[in-house]
Amino acid sequence: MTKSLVDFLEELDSNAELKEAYLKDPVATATSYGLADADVKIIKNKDWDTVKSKFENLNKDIKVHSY
Amino acid sequence: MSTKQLGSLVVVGTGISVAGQMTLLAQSYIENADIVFMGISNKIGENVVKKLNPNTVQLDDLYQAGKSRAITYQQMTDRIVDAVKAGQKVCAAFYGHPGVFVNPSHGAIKKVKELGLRAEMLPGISAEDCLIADLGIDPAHYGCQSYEATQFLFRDYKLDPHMTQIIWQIGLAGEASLGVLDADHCKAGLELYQEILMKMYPAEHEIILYEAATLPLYGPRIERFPLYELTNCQPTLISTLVVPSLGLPDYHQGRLTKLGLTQEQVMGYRNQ
Ligand SMILES: C[S@@+](CC[C@H](N)C(=O)[O-])C[C@H]1O[C@@H](n2cnc3c(N)ncnc32)[C@H](O)[C@@H]1O
Repeated sequence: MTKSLVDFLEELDSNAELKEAYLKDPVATATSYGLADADVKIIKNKDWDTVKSKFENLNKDIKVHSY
Repeated sequence: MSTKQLGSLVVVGTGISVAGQMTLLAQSYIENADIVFMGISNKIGENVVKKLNPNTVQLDDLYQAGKSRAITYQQMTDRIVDAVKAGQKVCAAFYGHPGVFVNPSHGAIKKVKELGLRAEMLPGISAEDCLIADLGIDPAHYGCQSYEATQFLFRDYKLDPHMTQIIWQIGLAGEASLGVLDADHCKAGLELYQEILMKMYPAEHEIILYEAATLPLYGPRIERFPLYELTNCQPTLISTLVVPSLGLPDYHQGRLTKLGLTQEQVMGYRNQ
């Protein structure tokens, strides 16, 4: 069963074993985790802009301070 | 006799990364709240919070281009405080450390306390904490000045080049209206910074534009360049500028004498 990129990102940030595996071999780790081909491709191509545009609210709640 | 629950507020931080920098206690407060307000900068983090507690409300709908952030923050504060007034156990979750460069968190805590109700802030991992780890800069080594880019420009502050400078919100440097939602208005601010810094540091002094990794897929953005290139850099809204120290200043002989010490003595103790 394919797993979502959301789950992968959450686990990558909270599971030391998965993180170490990813650092050694990102594509193999993403594949064996069960990501869909399209998501593995994003990682293979280091297409971080796509991931950022999917998941970051960069132009909104970043600014919670005024001078 | 009224059995109505008294409202309360706990403000927590979710860290800079998506999930792993949230403390156990923060997670538990999120889980146990009646309602959770979120000011989080990424959807994975929001998802983590929603899994802990499905009753979440975002605060980011209050941002609008052209509207002063000062008004937005007031509205965020009111939204949080109103829920407490209604008798709810409220948790407000902000990314990073909830008390570092965050207006509505401090504002809401103050108001709730004024109402005689319980309010507490829990610490979180801020961008500065990530910076210390990623750049290997110990703030104790040279001392550290850490401030908001625009506030520094607008006011008569004194910069000590012997201390590490950590300049927040560099992507909004010099932006007075508080109404922009991008980092395209900092050119004049960067020029002014370059001018100020050039008076205190050599033009070749290496400075660093820093962004902690916000997704675990990649590492931090660490751009090192000479001071004279500052106006050419492209900060984003999550960039922090670091100006490394010129080194430790000389000993202050007058203070040493008042403490009954000499420079040689102190140097001797330090080298033991
Ligand atoms: C409104 S403040 C919020 C800070 C946040 N509460 C914290 O604890 O780090 C936004 C500023 O924090 C800094 N910041 C936020 N995210 C960052 C990141 N990923 N890397 C470096 N600095 C960051 C930048 O200076 C940015 O302009």
